[in-house]
Amino acid sequence: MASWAEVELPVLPTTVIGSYPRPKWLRDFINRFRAGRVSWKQLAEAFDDAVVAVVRDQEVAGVDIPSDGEMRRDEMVEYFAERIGGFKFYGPVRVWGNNYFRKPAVISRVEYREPIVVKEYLYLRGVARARVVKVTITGPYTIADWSYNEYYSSKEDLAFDLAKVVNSEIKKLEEAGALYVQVDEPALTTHPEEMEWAVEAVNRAVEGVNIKVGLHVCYSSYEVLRPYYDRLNVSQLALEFANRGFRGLRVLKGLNKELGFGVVDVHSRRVETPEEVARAIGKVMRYVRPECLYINPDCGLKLLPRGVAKEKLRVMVEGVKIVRGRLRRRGIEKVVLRRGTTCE
Amino acid sequence: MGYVARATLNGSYPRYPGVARLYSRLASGKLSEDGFGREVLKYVRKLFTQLKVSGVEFFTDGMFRWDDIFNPLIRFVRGVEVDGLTRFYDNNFFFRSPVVRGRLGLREGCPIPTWFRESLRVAAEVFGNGSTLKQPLPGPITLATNSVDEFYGDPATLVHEWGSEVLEPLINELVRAGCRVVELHEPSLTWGGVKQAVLSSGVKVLVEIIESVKADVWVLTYFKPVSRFRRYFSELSRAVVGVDLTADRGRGYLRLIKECGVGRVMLGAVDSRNTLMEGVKEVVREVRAALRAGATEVYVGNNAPMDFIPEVVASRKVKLLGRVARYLRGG
Repeated sequence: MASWAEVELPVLPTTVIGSYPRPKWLRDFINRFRAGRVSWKQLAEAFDDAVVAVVRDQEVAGVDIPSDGEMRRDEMVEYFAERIGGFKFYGPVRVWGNNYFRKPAVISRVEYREPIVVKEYLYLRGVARARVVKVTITGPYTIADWSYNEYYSSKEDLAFDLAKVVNSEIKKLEEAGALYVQVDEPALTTHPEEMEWAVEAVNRAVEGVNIKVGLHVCYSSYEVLRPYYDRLNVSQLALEFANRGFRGLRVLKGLNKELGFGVVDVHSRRVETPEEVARAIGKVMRYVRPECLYINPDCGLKLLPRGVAKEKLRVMVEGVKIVRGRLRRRGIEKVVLRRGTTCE
Repeated sequence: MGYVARATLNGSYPRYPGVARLYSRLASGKLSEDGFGREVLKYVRKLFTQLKVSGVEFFTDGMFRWDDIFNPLIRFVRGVEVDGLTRFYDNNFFFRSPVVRGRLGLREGCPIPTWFRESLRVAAEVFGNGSTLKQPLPGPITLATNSVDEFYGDPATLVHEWGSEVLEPLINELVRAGCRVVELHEPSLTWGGVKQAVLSSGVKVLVEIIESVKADVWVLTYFKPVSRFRRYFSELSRAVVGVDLTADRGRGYLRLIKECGVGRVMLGAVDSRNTLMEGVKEVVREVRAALRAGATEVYVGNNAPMDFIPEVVASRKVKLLGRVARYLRGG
């Protein structure tokens, strides 16, 4: 396993946000499991095999830091709510178009029962060729915001209890050897009046953690996030920009952390070109130094057909290679895996 | 007055699992557009039957053919391209936003009036007389503030054009299709962050619509309290004004009734963003408070579209609305 002292990455490290399309055979297998035709043990093996397959997709595309594609997770809040004490499910709700998730309801005090994604990390670590892998965890604010609150007197109280749960889980991952965890907080900016305590909840979730922590926020107002760049105790902000046509990059002025820059749109099946990706990176480098830039899709890729997702990753890496060629001429070739909360 | 308060379903009702399957079959080519239209009406009938049993007399068709309050309407508007996903206010719910790249205008062949006519026929079969099917549409302010404007360059013009070039002609077509009540969803009116000039222009556009169309217009606000924006409502006194009581715990909405001449109100007393069930008496208290304040016509319904809760919970909340109406009638 890589230790901190030796972890070096090519400049503009490429990574994913987390989710990746489940292979068709896995979806069929899950349906068979739900129909009672295969056992849980068989399904668990299928999940493992799917992780191997999608990690391989990422490796073939040339991604530097893969994830396990969240093969075992139906949805980012529901997966954690099923494993944290205090939640109940009533049924699916629509998120957009014909896409649904089972939004949980909090009916009693939330509690950390046992490690949630540590086994997933260890399996990924074992099958990935890359030195660094990414583990994603849904953040306390988003779990609170995307749940129905039937128990706590306020969403704030719920979020802070969830922060304790998330903090316990990240510490377990650190103990298991994880180097890079991403806290997913797509809801973070949706209630500007709650930002003060929402940021504090995120900080509580990463308190006492000594590994690299990224924070993913998407489809949001980054103007609302901007005043909190300094206060967020994370190494990196991973933000979506392709879906918004790279409008509003000026919000990055003054960012004192690494940026995970979203260069491909996960809600469009049109595959971008390497030149488009390179152009977008060129634009963002007006605001963020290349040594502080990671390159990733806007968000999880799971809603795309697998072939399209794979192609988007390939194109993303090809686009990065164009820019790396230019940077090489300036003598910029490597970066280290940072744990610190600043990069200026 | 022959009633104290009437129960109403506003905006969308969660898609039944069967409707979700129809969309999947449509997307995979296993079902034609026509077949989809026929099948979806079976679920409209199911909803109407459920509403009738519950005692809800004012309702929509659940908007099963809509993805959100803007789509598919914006696909039938000239000058608009449909863009990436945008969050619907502060919800974990997303819509495809309109990018305005040319002069706005309603395209010929917009199917929304035809859909209304079909749903109206089903409503008549299920309810007979004595019920009212409403057509929900986005209001001009909400349309303008959720558009990416790359053509007009002036929000006041944009809001006007959405109203005069798209909504008015569409409502006129709906009226010809038998529509008597239109809901204009206007969360942007009270959301905050919209310039006063835009709100003033938007309210003028709303007034133009209310005065010119041959349908009763409901202007529904939600997600935020109305009291900060009450000056705009005095001009809307001919409309039924919808207020979100779950966002207005201080009952600031009563000032609309007392001070702004708003007599016709839709009290959004049932929270369509939480699974926690309201109590009948708690809702009844709100209705009585509105009546004491001087409201002349009171409807009680869901505060916002119902997409945000599971169908099983929405069903319970609809039943609760019926119970409230019956309680108030002394039943």
